Amino acid sequence: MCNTITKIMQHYASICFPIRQSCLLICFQAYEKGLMIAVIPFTSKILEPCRSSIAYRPPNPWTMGILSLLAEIYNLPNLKMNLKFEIEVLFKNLDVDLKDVNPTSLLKDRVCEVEGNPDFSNKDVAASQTQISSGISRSTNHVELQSVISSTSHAVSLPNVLNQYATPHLPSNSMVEDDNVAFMMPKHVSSHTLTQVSPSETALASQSPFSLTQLVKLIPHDEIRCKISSKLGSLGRQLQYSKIMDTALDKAIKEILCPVVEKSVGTAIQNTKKLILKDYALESDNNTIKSSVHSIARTIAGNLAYANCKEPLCVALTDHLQSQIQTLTSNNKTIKQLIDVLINDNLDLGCRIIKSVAMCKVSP
Amino acid sequence: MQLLETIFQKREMFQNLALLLWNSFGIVASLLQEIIVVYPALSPPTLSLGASNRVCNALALLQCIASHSETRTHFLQARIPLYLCAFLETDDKAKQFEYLRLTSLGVIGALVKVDDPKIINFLLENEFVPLCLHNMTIGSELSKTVATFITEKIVVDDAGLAYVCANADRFYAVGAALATVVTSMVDQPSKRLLKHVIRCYLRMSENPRGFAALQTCLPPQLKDGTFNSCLRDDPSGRHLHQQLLVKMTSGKKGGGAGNSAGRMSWG
Repeated sequence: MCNTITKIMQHYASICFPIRQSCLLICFQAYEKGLMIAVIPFTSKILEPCRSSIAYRPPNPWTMGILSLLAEIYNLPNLKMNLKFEIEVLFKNLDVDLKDVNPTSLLKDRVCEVEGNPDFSNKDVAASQTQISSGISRSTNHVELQSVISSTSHAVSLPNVLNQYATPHLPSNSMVEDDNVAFMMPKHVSSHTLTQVSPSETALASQSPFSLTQLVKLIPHDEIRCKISSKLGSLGRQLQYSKIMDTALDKAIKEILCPVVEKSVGTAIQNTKKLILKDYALESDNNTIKSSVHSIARTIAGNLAYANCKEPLCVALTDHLQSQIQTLTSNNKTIKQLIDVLINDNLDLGCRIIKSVAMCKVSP
Repeated sequence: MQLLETIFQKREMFQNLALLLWNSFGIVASLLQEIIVVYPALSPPTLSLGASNRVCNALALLQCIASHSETRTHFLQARIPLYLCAFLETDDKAKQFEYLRLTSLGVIGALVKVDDPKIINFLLENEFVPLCLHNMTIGSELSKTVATFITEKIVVDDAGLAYVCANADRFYAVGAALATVVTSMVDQPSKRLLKHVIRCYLRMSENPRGFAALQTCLPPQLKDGTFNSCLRDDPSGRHLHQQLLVKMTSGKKGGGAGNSAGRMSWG
């Protein structure tokens, strides 16, 4: 036994650890190889002088670390009584209460040899079986730990999937008010894209933010057919009103398109990201995640844009219709009547167009 | 529909309902779905009482999430309050719309109860102040009370006070909304609502520009004793009222200080 201790001391003395800290490492190996019957008394003798040491007395973290491990060993089932006694005496000498020390859990994933182990009392067969089943349960815990890590890996991969949605292609808009700064997204327009713009579009871009040009391309022009009520027949020619309505609707949509789409898409993306990360935390199929993101983001962006654009669109339409109809008649009552009818019939069309643009914008 | 109503009715029985709602698969997404499907019915106003009740049940569950300390941050990061803007903007006075606005205000009210600057900043950035003022103007007494409570919490925050007093337009918008509330109480005073209003004015008077502006736009009803009987048996309310009056009049009687305040340029 003395030779064993000597070998252990020599082995670990070659490492530049404080001698007391080496006790931690010795205890691990001793536990696995059934040598605690030698190492516990050794550790106890090494730690006893800590009581009179200014630096190492409890609650020195090194000392408490070793005591925590000893507390864990003390709680092992079927530990030999003499080893228990040795640990109790040590704690008493250091004026530390065993109950006050939080045991470590460093031995849970370590397997000790059961057969012929002098550290544990295995006088009956039942005790031996307990040891065997304990080993099996430890193995199971290890498997569970691996599956937890696996799940975490899946969760970690989600942000990468969502990043492409988190930064939509929404160039900054200088017209956006300060209050909307929170919704401005980084600009992703490359110089290559800019050089592709035709001269006429370049002229347009110089007069308004590039994003307007881009969003305008998403407008489904084929679907725009303004509705002109027959009630207006008595007030003038339908063809004339149709042209006026087309122009006013086009101008009004372009006027409010950027702020509405930008805000709706920004909110939809932020919200979708939060929901998907929460609801699909354990999903391993990226395609499932992508299709869900796509579906939710489009629905939310479209509906938010629809709800938020109605009032500003109505205001913009009123202004544009007013300026155009005034060239036809100077009767204020007639003008108001015309505007009300035209807006009532076509406001929803404008909202649906903006909704369509928002849904297209949010799709990758 | 029935399940939503059942959860709504039994929400008081669960200590951690908010955590269950937030961490269950698809629940929040379903609640948001209940909200956005009703948007088309807001304008022109075609909302039925049944549909309104359904949305209000969903909003009440969202309020549970907004109230819980562990789910509130997630609620804000997901920008869920922004879904309520469309409801708070409505001005139809029918019962189903009023109930919808009141429940939406309740969600915002749950957020501001904890006096968190981050929440106030979120509301300022996303233009909730005009929505509160709108509801202070057109809402029922209960809606006015909740909206004024939210406004009070906003101006009590340093950033909120700076926001309101940043320019004349904003200040007078808030002042006008508060004045509308005061006027609406002349016939049927509400002690609770009156105290919220007084606290708003007191806080706004702590800003030098706000103090100067209030010299001219503080409602006369607050000075001529109209509400004395209302606050007679409420010591704290009476104290607040007297505090406000003393502050407003001391400015005039302060001599140099008063003159200085009077001469301060505005806007």
